[in-house]
Amino acid sequence: MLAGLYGYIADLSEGVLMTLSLTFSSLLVGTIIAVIGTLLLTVKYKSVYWLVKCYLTLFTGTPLLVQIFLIYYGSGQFEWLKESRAWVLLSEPWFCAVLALSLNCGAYTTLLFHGALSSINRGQWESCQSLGMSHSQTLKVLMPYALKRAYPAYSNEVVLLLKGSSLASTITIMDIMGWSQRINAQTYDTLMVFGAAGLLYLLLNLIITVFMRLFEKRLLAFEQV
Amino acid sequence: MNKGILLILVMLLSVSSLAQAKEIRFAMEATYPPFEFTDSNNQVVGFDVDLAKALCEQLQKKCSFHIQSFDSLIASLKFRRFDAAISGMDITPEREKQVLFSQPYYENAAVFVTEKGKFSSFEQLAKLKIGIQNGSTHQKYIHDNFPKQATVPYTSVQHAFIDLENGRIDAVFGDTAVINQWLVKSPEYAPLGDLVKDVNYFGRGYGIAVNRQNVELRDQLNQALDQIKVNGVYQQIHQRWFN
Repeated sequence: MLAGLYGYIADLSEGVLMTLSLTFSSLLVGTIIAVIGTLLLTVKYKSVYWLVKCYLTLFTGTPLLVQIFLIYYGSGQFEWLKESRAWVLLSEPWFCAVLALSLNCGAYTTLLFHGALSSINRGQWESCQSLGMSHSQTLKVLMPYALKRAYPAYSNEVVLLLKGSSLASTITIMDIMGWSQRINAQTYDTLMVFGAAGLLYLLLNLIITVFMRLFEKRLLAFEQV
Repeated sequence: MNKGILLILVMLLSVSSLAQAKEIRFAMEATYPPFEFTDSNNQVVGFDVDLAKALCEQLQKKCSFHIQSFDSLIASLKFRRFDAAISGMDITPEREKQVLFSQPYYENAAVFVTEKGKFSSFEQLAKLKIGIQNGSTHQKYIHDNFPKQATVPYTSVQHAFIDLENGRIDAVFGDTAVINQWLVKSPEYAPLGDLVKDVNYFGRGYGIAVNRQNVELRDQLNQALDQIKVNGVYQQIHQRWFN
């Protein structure tokens, strides 16, 4: 039984690289989106504020699976889109999955960063103002502080993203989940195959968590005096 | 004392046999017209559904239908979540190790479908992408016989059709009846090459699958299939869906 499990883990490891590439590409793009989104939320223009709010509501209020399906199958329904240059990218399942995952991750991370920024004591904003700093200068001072504050919750987001990436298997991507579905369909050994998939995801998450913790200790060293 | 135990045993037995006799729970993957699909009223309909209903009527049992993804049908039977799976499922040696099959109830063959006039033979697809349903005999056939062929696995063959239209894949490999049904709506596409009939994959036809221990139900289904073929009900259902 254990040998079987070990064998399946070896089979599924073909999908590990795909899972990792989905997770870290989306994490990178999602974080960039989140930083931009957080900055835009502090801007005084009402229209920009509401635009970002709309994006956040849309992507945190709908299931990730729906987003993936809409981007993958929905994009093919528009003739003009299929004629355009964007189709080179949109016809690739990997690109669609990363797009959906980044937009989703970006929305949640924006909320996270924005929350951390607004939790900064009013006094700090005021002291920046009283020193005659402009809006962008204030942000330059407070943003790194807020980002560090948001870090523990952010590591959680990475774990969520890794698990969420398994939904990409529904649009034909052969990640860990995609491989386990294929092997399950060939062997019918459901319990062992998905058990092995679960173990692999758990292992990846453990490794990520340990690294994030180590980094967190250095990042938040200034607080542990 | 002994009488009491006996009484309880008899009660238990009668309860369990009652429960056994009343209903057959059929599982299916319902995006597979004309065999099983949901109509505009959200009812599952199709050849398999009508056939199952006819069998239940013959056996004087109730029928219920449960929608599942195709690649989890066999696992569900093993875990006894349902009594039978009728879902355009080919009888194959691998599946027979997992479940019991009834006699074949529909002759099957597989075929490739591509854009009309784009290719002249199957060999031209060698370096292109072929869409298949995950867990299907078509997937296994290609992986076993053409291990280098790039395949794209879909949870439903309908998704493969969408991607064929969108140009993400170049061909779909699937059951003839299902592809013919789709071709009615999509005249720009056509079958490529001959029908594929391989006894190890789709040559033996569709069967109704039951749990390996449930020999009784398998025998009942076989008997009922014989009966509806004799009394003409099977032919009526066949006529309704394939003409």
